[in-house]
Amino acid sequence: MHNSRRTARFRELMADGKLHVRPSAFDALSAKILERSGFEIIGISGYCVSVGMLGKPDVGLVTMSETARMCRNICKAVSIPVMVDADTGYGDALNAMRTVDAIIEAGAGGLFIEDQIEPKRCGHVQGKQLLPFAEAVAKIRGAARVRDELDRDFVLMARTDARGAVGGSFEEAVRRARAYLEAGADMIFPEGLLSADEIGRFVAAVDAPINYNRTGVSPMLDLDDLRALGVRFVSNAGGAFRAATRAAWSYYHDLKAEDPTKRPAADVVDGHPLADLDGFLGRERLAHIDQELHR
Amino acid sequence: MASDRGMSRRGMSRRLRALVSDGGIHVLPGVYNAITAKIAESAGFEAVGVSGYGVSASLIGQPDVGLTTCTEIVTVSGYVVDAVNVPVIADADTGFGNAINTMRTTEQFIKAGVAGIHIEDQVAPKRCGHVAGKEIISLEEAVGKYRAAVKVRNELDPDFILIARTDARGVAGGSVDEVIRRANAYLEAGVDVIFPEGLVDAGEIGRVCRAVKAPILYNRTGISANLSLDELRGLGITIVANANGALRAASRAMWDYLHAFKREDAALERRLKEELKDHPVGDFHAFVGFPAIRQLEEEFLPREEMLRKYEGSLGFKP
Repeated sequence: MHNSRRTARFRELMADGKLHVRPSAFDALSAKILERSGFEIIGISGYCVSVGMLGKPDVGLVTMSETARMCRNICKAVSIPVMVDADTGYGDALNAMRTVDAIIEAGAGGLFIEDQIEPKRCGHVQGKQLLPFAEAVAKIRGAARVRDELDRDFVLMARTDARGAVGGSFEEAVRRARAYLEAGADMIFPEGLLSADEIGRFVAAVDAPINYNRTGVSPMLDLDDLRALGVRFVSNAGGAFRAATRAAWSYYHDLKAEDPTKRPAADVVDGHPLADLDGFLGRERLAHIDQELHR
Repeated sequence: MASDRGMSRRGMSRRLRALVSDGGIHVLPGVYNAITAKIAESAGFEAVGVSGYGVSASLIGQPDVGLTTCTEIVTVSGYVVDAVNVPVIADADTGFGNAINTMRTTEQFIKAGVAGIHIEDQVAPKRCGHVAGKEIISLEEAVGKYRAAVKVRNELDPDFILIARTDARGVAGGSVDEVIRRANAYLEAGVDVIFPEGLVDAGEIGRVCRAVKAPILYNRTGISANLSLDELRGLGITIVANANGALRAASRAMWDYLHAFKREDAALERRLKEELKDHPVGDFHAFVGFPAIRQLEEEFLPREEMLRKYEGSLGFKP
């Protein structure tokens, strides 16, 4: 799908009044599996890219170039809209403008920028500090300007970490969300809300689609409850990644414990939808194209 | 990060060289990113192999038909090298071109800190297997390619391990005799290890091991016989590669998880949280290394900033 149609598709999802579950990818393979599992929109998790690609925790070590490169590979692998975790925008307002440019260029449907100081860290790990209010607003304003120049349908989500950061509060999160909307954000992601009551109050106070992240300090509420509270997007940043990590853990430990006297069980599990991984990755399709080109 | 590394990069190639000549049999698990490499290391493996198939699937979501570039494989291999303290062997495909390209390829892998690479004698770029079948380059061209790689190895890191993979068994008209002829010619050119791809049974493996006086790498997958470690040791194998088991296991696990999540949503998450609380990766934030970062912060950040950072901040306490 052409990139502009993908951003338009994201706008449709934003406008349809429904609650959308948005699980995250961390590489092209996970993105393809997410798409084939029936999700209409996916994210790219900064946490999982950091751990998967670098083997390092999510403390702002991944660079903008690395995120843009990963984004390009993922967007080429699927045809649904992709929402990218762009950390702090990787610097100040001017850096954030270059980040938005690169992520739009890479084919994403949208991105989010958070208001932590650099280097950032996972929204559910202690040690978060907030960028001064005026700086954060300037950053969103810069990001919105690039969106307006390059693709007005591109979705700019402002994430505020004000609820859990040093010196933050629920009220500060609301104040910042409103200012970010004024600066041109399309959607708000209040990270680290602590209860259903806080979610409801936030949705009532902020006039924009709200993204909620059910992890860490934020309660694991059912979709019906979130719908009733007025949440529009629910992220699941780490689910697929954790499943993959556990499977790799079991595989390597089993392999290491292999009985030298016995022939190991085959890697391929017959009957599983991904037993033919080559088929899933599209080998037949490429072979067909290759054949056509050589006729 | 440098602080994770217990030894120099040069030390890794020396360690790999010692490993392939210690007379034992070693299982080389395939990895495709930093986290799979870290887990393989934690399971106790003495070396890991960056799988070309795995990188193609994971990084670009494509089958392994030669679409990934040298730059991409070197980049992923570099992340893996930086993440573990064991030697890393990387899949250098055909060397990504002719002998001259292979020289640059070898140099890039050495500079990325990789301890060894395998280079195959297929035609570059590989055509999609289903269409053309495998094709191999002439013996003369292949020997030139390995001689070129050897020259770079000798200049930059004499301990670096060059593995020549020959696909001579599986091509049309291919045979074990041709595998042996080529393997010995590649050894003459200066490579360290031979990887005869596609041997179908124990008889063929035994013949190659007897006729080729070098450590032999066996890829236990696909059409190649699934033999036990004792059987392979008896036949004379030094390295047993299990390239894509983790990739397949992880793919299936994601598929199963996502389909269950689509049906059950929060109920599944709550159940997993309960079931996995004692799993080695159950405490995920700790598993991925936040506490180690906290220690580095204590060591290197201003005291004032540390106090500011954590005082009153909500969430996992690293």
